[in-house]
Amino acid sequence: MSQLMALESLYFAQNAHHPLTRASSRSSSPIRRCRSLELRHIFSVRRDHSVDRPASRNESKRHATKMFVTPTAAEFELATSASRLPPLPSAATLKARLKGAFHRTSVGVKGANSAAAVVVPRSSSHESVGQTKPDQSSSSPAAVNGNQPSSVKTRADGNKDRVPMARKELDSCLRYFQEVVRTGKVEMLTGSTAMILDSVLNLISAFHANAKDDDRTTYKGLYDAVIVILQLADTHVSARAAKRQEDDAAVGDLVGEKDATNAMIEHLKTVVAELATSVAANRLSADSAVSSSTVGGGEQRHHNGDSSTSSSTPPPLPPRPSKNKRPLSPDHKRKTSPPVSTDSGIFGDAPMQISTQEGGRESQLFSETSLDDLLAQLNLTNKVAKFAPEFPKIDQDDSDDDTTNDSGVLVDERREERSENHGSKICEEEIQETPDGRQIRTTKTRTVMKKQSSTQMTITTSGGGGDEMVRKFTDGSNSFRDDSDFKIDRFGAFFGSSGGRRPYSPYDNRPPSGAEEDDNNEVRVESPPPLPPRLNRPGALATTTQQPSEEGGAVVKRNRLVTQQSATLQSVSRRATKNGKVVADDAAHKLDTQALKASQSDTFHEGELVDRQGGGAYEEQSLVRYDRALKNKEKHRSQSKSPPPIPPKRRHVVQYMQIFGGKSPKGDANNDDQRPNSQTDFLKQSTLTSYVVLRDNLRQYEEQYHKKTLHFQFGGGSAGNDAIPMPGPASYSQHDYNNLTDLLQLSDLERFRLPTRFEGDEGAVDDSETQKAITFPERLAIEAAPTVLEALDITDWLVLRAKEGSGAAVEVRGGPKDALVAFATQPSDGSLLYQEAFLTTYRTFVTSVELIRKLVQRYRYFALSSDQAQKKAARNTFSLLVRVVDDLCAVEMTRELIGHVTSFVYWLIRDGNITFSRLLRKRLMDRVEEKAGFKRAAPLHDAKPSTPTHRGANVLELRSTAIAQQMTFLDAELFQKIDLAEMLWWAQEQCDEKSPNLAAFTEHFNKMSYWVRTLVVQQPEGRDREKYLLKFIKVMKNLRRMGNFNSYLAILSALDSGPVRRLDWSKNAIDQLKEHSSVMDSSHSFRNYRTLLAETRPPCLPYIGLILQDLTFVHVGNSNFLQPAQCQGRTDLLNFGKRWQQFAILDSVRRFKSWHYPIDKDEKIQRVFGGFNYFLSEDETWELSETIKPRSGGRKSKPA
Amino acid sequence: MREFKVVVLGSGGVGKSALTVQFVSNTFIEKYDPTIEDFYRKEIEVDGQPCVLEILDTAGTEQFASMRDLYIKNGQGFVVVYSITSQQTFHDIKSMRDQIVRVKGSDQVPILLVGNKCDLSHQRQVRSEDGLALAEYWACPFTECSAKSAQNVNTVFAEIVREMNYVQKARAKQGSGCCVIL
Repeated sequence: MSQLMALESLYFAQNAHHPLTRASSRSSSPIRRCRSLELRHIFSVRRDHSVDRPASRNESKRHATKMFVTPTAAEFELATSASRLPPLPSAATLKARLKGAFHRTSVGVKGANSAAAVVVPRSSSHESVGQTKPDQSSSSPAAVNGNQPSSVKTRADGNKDRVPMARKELDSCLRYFQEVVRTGKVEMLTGSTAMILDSVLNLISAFHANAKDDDRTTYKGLYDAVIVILQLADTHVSARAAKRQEDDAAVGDLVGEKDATNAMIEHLKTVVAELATSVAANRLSADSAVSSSTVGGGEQRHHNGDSSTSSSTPPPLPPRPSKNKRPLSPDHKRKTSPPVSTDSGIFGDAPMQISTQEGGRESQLFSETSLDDLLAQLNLTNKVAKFAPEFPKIDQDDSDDDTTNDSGVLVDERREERSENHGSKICEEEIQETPDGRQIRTTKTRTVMKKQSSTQMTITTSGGGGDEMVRKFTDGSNSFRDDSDFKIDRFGAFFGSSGGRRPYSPYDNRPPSGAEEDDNNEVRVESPPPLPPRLNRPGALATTTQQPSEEGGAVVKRNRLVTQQSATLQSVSRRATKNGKVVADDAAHKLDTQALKASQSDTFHEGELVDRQGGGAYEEQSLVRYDRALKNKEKHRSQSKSPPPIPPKRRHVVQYMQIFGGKSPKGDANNDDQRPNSQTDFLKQSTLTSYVVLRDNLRQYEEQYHKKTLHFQFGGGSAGNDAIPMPGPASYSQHDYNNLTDLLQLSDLERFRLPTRFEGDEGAVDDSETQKAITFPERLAIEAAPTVLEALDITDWLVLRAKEGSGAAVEVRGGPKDALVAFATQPSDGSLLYQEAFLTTYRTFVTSVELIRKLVQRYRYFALSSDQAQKKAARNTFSLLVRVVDDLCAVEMTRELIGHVTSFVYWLIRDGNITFSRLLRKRLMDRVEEKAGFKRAAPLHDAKPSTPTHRGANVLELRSTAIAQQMTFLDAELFQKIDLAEMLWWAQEQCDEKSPNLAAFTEHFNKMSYWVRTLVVQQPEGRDREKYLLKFIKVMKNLRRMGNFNSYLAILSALDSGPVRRLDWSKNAIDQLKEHSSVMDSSHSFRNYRTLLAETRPPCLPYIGLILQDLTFVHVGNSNFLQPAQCQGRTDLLNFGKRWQQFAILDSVRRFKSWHYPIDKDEKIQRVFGGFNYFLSEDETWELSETIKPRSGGRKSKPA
Repeated sequence: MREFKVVVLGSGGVGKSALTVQFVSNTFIEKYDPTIEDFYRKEIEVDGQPCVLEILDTAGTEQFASMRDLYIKNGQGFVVVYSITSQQTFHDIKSMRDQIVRVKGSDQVPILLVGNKCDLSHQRQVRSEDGLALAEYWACPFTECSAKSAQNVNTVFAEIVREMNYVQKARAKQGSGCCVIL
């Protein structure tokens, strides 16, 4: 409770400005599912804010610059400082410039589509590090120099302006390449190819916009050069990845590698030269295209000003004093540009994409293009639902007899209290910048605080011969406060500080007073009023500010920043008494929080929107907590001593929530035998069904403790700006869940619908055919029936099970490999569950490399079609491919696989699909990085084992809860690393190399167990041994409470192991131990443990051994292919029923993985653990045990 | 009806799970779920005596060495399996009897030694004589079988029941009425 209070005060604090940084400080919340992406975002948000204060502008600028420095930049700087060449821009500047180029030019099609495309070059990156102003600024639109441009805007006009910018960036790139060539540091490339790719591709897309479609071949040289550079970088990366896999032992390769590097540099040299030439060539053609399409010769643009740099070795940018010109791009430019970290930059030129981070995957993408669309999409007005917790039923029958007082009158009193605290703060800030350097800043803030409480009392009097009498009392209080603030500040040449504070209510559609605030216990957060249509933006705010008359024709920038945060805490408590005796006392709390931070930056020229960039993040979270239950007060008192991270009332929540339809949870399954053998109980007896129950249970909790984080970004698009659909687990429908139980029922073969088409009938798919298909897709489609991978509708090839009732639901039971692959790209008909199952289990019948090849084939077949349905199929295929790449394991990062993906990236570039190529490459490289990073982080425990006595003393001194927490910390860390595929492989091959993380986890488990036995057996005194035993039993209790069954079993296996168990223990100790060992009773396939696990409340760490065992039996017990007898003698139909079973098991693991323990590492305790590296061998432990208590011929040594 | 708890032990990859699956289901039919908990229970008749076997097969968890004591503790009879195509798996189980005996705290434990995969005789690495020799050393019965071709599979489980019966009788004779392992 105290924690919730703390959260509340935190949220309602008046000075809370940064919803997201606030969010990040919530580290003590019971459930924390922060992702790194989010953190990064917070970082950039903070930067945004620091720019707010004009006084600290320089400082913030430096800060902003620092943001861009990546590790390779340091190397670069070193190289530069040693160089005697004319001064280059610093690495930071260069990178900033590269990134800037990306964001700048990503306006692309968007700007062009709005038929007015003049973009002011942003030169802020140069200024920000005190660099001299580049000459390109002289080529900025004439409008800037005060000339009135022609009112007729052509498409080419805009692009023409963009070209020089992109070109400038490309020049920087070339310089960078030359530096790489000069220093011979190829590895620098690998760190920056993403940016280089961006800037080159942007130049190309800028050219593209100018050129007609048939001119595409003109840029072939450019494409090729880009591809060669990528190839160089990729080769380097994949070599690194491969080297890591070959156990780093390939030192002998170093010599060869050096040669390879030299060759690479030579190659690069030529490519850079070629690139420069082709840039120059294209520039000419682009320029001519521009000038030919320019209407009105009067406005001669000076965009050729930088053509001097078009030689193959661009000279250093000539310094030019910037005094004579007012900076066009004030620092606020940076402020509203989307987060510039490379990883979000990937979405830069798609129209707008929102990714929902839930369960670690992006699941939804929208295509709104403005902040208002976004706000509408988020629908922040959504009300926080009334919280109605389910308290346990008050048992009437039990107490009736003994509570009836002498008079025979029964007084039943129920009291329900409800309180609600709500606070929200909406802050909207607009900054308008005019070309003369003025700034008008408008800030609207609205703070709403609401408190509401009510008490309801019902007194029922019955008995005593009279009629039952019911009296009800209600009482309540309300308070409401609504503060609005409106502020305009003006900065700049003409306005000193004419702005000021004045009262204003920005929410005209609502009365500012809260008198009429709804009384239905619901909270409404008003969304900001919609802004006027975007094309009239310059005049919109000007109603409250002075409209600068000289602004016509000039460039106006408008930055808009919306932050919104709200928190609602609802508390409900219930107390029931019977004749004055308390029979129930419960409380529950729910905290809902929302935080939004979004920005949008619009650039207007002559009242027309020419550029729009934006982005932000949204986060919402709900937490539920239950308190007090009378029946278990004793228990709680002891539990409440533990620190807050794990809600201590886990068992009771399970009871309250009635997840299992009224079935009372129990840890010991002794009573289970008496269960009636009804249908549900039959299902309960199936181990797989226990996984389904487990999964449902987890899902319930996921809903309750849901946390949603959205990141979004929008801006103009460039070529290939299709939104990529990314279906994910979050979009399961309820139907899918119910379905899984059905899907696991394998017994009704007779209802299978067999395929009507078979692969073999149409000839094998081979590569040559693929090539043809790509060249002449139309013709081939007519001549030959498409192969499975080239078919739009796959269902004819699949073995399906007809579903009674609705014909829509398709249950896949089997099919040929290609059909199963292709069907996964067809996310329709409620087959999202199939897609998930496919992604989880495809490795059992197709390798990742092969799958990628098949998907590429399918994509390439459809991508070239002009048919909408086929294009959609291509996009779906691509999104599946991205998910496959996202989920690759370390062992799969082979040269071959990387080669397949990268060559597909090159193909995409040649195809002009820059968005997709960039996205895919980014995902792949992220994955490579992640896996390369794995090995470095491998030595998890480097603590040296200290002497046993020293450590021994410490274990007893530590608190059991703290020990349990730190054990959990280690377990969770290792558990998170395990890929699902590792478990799948393990059940089939038991190969350490393929499942390194799983092997590490298992080893950790064993070490922990041996460490515990060693500590106990090593004590020479029986009293001390008992102390240790009891201590570890306490730790086990805590582990069980925390849901850490992994460590729980590790310790149990130690205390229940032969050498420990056979020693003499007190009755107390034996009784306590017995309670725990019943959990791991193997009868009925570990039913006790399964029951316990299925009802547990996440976060939770399961015992992986049993999962592996189940997977093994599913693997051995089911055939890979459907029986020929069942399917007309076909032998190539894979049995997908087996995969459904595997999925049912693994999906639970995935859900476990999505929860995190909010535990911090405690170095002191970890040192005591010493990585569990100190332990005696099994034989030594036995020896010690038999020294303590000699073996006496068997029977007697067993404890009774 | 008497109930026996049988634990199947052996290194990974010896085909333990296939042996269990074969025994319990007899044929690979499509409609069964190998993880239904009752799947691990089977009624058989040995020498005219019906009995129920509950099989604990921890296939897949061999790496959890520290859990082995727990599993052994739960069992009454032990089927120790190696693969005749792998010398390593034969080597791995050599210490198994000691481990069982230590945990059970008794020299008289019903154990059956089984060489699996005898259908792959062309890949044989462990001679039948070696298996027999180890079984003699352990003083336990020995058989070779093939889970894949269902050869001798039922024999294996019938034999372990006989062994359990035998050991129980021997103990009852020897012991002073003290209860057998529970």
